[in-house]
Amino acid sequence: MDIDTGSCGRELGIKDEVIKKACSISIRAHQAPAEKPFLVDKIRGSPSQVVIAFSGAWTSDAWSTRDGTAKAFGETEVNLNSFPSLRSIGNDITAKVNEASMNQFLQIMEKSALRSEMDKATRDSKPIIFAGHSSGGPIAIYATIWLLEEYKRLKKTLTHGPFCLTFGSPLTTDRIFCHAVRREEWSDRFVHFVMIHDIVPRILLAPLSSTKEFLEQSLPYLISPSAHHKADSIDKSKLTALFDNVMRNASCVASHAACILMGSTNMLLDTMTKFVQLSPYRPCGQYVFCTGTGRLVVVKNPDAVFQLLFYSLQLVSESESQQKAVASLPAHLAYEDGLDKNLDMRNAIHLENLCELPLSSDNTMDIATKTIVDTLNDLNLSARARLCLRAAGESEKQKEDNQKKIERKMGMIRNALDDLEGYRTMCETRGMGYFDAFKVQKHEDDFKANVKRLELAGIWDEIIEMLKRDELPDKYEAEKSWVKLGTEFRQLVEPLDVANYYRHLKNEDTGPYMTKGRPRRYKYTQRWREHAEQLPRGSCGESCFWADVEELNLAVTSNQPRNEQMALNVANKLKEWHAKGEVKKDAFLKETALVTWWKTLPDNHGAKLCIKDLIES
Amino acid sequence: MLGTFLSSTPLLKEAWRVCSTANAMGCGAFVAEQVGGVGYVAFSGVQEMPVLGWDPNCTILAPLDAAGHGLFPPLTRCYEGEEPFMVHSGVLHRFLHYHSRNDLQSQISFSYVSIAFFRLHSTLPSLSPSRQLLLTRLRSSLARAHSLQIHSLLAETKSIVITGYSIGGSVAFLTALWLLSYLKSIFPPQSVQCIGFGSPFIGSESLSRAILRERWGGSFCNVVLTHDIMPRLSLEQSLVLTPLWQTLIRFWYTSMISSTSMNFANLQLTEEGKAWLLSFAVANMEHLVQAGEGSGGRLFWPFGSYLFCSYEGTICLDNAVSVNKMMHLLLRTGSRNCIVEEHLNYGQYVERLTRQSLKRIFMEGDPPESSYEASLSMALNSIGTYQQVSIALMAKDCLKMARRIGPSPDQNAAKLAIRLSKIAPYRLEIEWYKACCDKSAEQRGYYDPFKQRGVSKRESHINMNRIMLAAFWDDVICMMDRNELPLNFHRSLEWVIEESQLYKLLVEPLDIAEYYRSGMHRKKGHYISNGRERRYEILDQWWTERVVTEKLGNRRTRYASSTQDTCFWARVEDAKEWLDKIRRKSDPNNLAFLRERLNEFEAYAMKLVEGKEVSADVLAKNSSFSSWLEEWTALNRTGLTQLIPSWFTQRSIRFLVPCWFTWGPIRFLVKYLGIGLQRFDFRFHVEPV
Repeated sequence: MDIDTGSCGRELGIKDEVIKKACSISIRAHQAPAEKPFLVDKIRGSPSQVVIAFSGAWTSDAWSTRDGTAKAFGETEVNLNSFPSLRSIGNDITAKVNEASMNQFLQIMEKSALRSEMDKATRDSKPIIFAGHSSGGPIAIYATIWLLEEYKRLKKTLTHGPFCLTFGSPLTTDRIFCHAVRREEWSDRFVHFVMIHDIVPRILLAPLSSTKEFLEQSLPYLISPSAHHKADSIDKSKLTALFDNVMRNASCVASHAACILMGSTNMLLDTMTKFVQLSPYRPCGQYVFCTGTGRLVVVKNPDAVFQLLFYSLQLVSESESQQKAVASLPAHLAYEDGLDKNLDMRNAIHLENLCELPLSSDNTMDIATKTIVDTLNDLNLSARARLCLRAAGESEKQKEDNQKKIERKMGMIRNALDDLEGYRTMCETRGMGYFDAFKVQKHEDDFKANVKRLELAGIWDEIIEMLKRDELPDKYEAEKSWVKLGTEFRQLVEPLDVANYYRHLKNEDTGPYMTKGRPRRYKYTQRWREHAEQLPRGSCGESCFWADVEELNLAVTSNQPRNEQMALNVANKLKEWHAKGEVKKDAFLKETALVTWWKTLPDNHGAKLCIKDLIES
Repeated sequence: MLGTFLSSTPLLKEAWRVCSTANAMGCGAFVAEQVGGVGYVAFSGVQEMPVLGWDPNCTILAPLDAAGHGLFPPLTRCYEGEEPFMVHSGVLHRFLHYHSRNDLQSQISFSYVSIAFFRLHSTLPSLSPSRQLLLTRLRSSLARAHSLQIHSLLAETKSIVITGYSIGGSVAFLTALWLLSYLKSIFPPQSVQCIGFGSPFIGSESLSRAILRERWGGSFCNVVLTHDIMPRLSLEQSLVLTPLWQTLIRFWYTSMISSTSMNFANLQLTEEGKAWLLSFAVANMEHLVQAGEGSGGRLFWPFGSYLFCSYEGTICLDNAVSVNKMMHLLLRTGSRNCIVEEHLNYGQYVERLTRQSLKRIFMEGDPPESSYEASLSMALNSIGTYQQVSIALMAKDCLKMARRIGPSPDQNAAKLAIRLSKIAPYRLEIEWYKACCDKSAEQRGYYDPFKQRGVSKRESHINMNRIMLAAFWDDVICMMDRNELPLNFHRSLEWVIEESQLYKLLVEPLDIAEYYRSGMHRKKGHYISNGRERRYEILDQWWTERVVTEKLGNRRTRYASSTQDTCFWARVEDAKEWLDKIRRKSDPNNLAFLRERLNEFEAYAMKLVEGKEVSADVLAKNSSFSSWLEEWTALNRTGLTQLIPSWFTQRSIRFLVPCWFTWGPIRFLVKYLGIGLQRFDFRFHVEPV
């Protein structure tokens, strides 16, 4: 995208005028009648851009479709068919979003002309900017993701890809959502503006049941522009109670997150967590905080943003509560004015080096630090808050260090894989299949291969363990070199694991390998590849077909009826994999388990015919 | 940070609210309520006097299982070198009293009954003027409470908070301990949280360790005000019997019941008296700090987490030594005037805490630049010691000590994968050795060659491997005991389970062999009851606790690669001993008993053999099991044998089992004619359906 000369917009990748325009359209969008849920506007320039701004309906069913009884925070899993990227790959957890706002988006997609607008803009290769104020924000986020997924599916480059701008949008996406967006490297395309005194971005940190009344009755009334001047008509004591409640919940989740960031080892934390309801929502994308003095602060680290959402609104004294509560509503309506004034200022501060954030509030050593110190003071941050931000930075750094550490082990993995490759060729010269030779465990080489197998298992299990505990950078699972190495490892070593499993008859203790005994290190690496190459789930089973063959063989020896479906499946897949070179010819050598099974098939069996020429050659 | 989290949760506030309701209900009362899916049970801080160790015949610390009720099954077994788990006898007595009181007719567990109170409670006019009447009505309706209703309530509330103020908190601790022991056998998720407010010490150091070992530390939290003497006291005779103490406790009791009116005029405690009580508490803490770790069952010792509350904030500590130090240090800043009211201030502080979490914490001066130092000084500030120069330095040291040094549990768990892969080759070698034994011409199996090994190089190498593996697993368990591994790591790490099970199956027979080889059974007794290492019991526990979605109904097609009951050989050794006794006729009175036991063993062993649960080595021709079986059948051989032609019993002849044959006749032949099972050829034998 074209870049303007220095101002806040430059680093974000969007021009200031566009942001301002998007903001005013977003606010106007709330005025639009219900049958037109979004406004479209063009911004001239080279290239010209299209802004699509959404309004959210704050109706009762929109915010808590199930009356808030089912889930305290109204969250639901996204549909992986529409949003295949929105999950953590290895751990296989689906991202969650607010159910009501997601339903609203899906309805808009279905019923309105949004789709054709998107198509039109894409055809003219005009970048689209999705925007939304308040409840329109979440819908803009989903629309952006939807289009990004579309680009990804069609393997288009992202030069004219969509952007998303929200203003005072409530949090509606969970940790996994954020993880997935960062993994796909989309997170810079989301820019959220938040006035630090605005309560709405924090509101879903409290259970829906406690905020429902405000969301359904007061807020829609407020944001419809005709009622702007009536902001003070809301009952102050009610507002204070709401503010207190939201902030208490925010404090709870923020300090919980901080405990984890700081690596608290107290077991009380685990036990306590089971007793309190914590909001699942987390920020996603870049945040621009607008302070009371008109300063703009850009923060990218999601953990830091989350801490800031609480600490920037923390009370200085208890008596301040009502004052802040009352101020929190005008702040929600002030985005247009606020941005109009401040976007011109070229003083947007990027909080980047979080680990070295100054803790004290009046350190005037040099100018660079001074601006940071001033910014932090503007953000209303106590020393404790700064420590939390530091911890967020440390945690990010730690993740990167972890990745470097395991990257150093790549060489070890390589060597071990080479050794096993050698073992494989040796088996071939012995005239035995790799799988079968290992299963028999007759020679010393087989023993050595077993040791190598366990060595590799150790390294990979450590990596998987780190992934499970979220100790690696978000983008790790999408790194090409690791996906490739994982695939290689899986194709070479998993047959040995299968052989070991059936050699020790573990299927009789625990069940079939595929459903009961398959280690995570293979499941994860298989999912990596499937995700990277956009293949359907479960299609990359080239490393574990031996398990199916073993099961089929067992069925033969115990005189059970043949599983025709499975037999055909294995044969067809084998042919495919062999054609791709993913299954080597040693599988079809004489005396392998595969051939033994094949021989038991009747001559006219589909599966027999399917791989006949493979085996006979 | 954890302190902030705790105080911003609604948990503390709710717990205190329920507690004060219980307090108001008077002596020995307790309340149960349900708030938003969480059940709360609170014990009144006002308890009958005997709780304070009134009975002079009783020692203060009594073993937990002294009651003999078997209420704490996981906490009764002590391992070698451990002292028994001791608790305050008075509190234990109170707890047992509660426990029996509610155990009225049905054997319904107490806690769920009290959750059921919630229902009953709401139907009655809550807190009617005569509380006693309410209680009696509750009790009588309890007797009628249908167990079905209770089960539905059990499903409703998955998590229970047990709480109590003052001594009520101590009762709550015991109740929670009991509930955890009870739940352990039912469902694994630990959803019990116990919160005490200013509760005195209750257990010994050995108990504290046992709680850590059971990984229950996270379920206990004691809220302690900076200058409260109650949680710092060991309620011993030397204190409890003094009139000073009794004046104080009576005053506290009356203030608790009517929390609104705190009439200091009623307190007849002189300044000297207050000073004496304060110095008593200081002396007690000093004693504990100096005693340090290793007091075993003789002294009181803190367990779980301690949440220290001051006017400025909170900090949370879970390291017992630093908890003791901190309690001592904080008390030193107290004055004799605060000892009376501080214990009654909990309500006020809890209220303050929940409001405080929203507010910035004011700090004087600039914090140090390093994150570590800054967080330390922030913590010091939270407990209000920042200004008090006299103890600030020591308090800082104490906090430093409390901070765990070294990698986090999660990192340890991840590293375990690497360590496991380094140790695995040792196991593989043993596996290899077993395969060699199975194949060898001597046919002595796997157990006997190792047991009767000479100076063979191979066996001593295997012995080394065995020792290395044992050291590794002991270390893992030790790390678990020290809380250096995540709470549920053995459930979440599939490979740990896999590997540990392989280890157990493979190596425990060798351990048994070593045990009997070195004659330990003569010194210590049978392996299973006296010689089994703790690691195997824990690994057993992991294996049975693992998530099993469905039971496999299918039968084994071959003999298992290792015998599934790892103690099998120990049982064989026992059986050999019994058989010996019968043959030597050393104990004629016991003959019938021994025969009975041997029959039992035979039935057990044959069941394993039939189910192919044993590994092939057990049935090797010259294994000690085979020879035992032969001797035993020879002993059983009746007159019937003479009718059988001699070729039938000759060892060289094998029997081909026809395909229609069932197990019954084979068992008959084996048992009464002494034909070894290895002489049957099952080539054509199809398993009977």
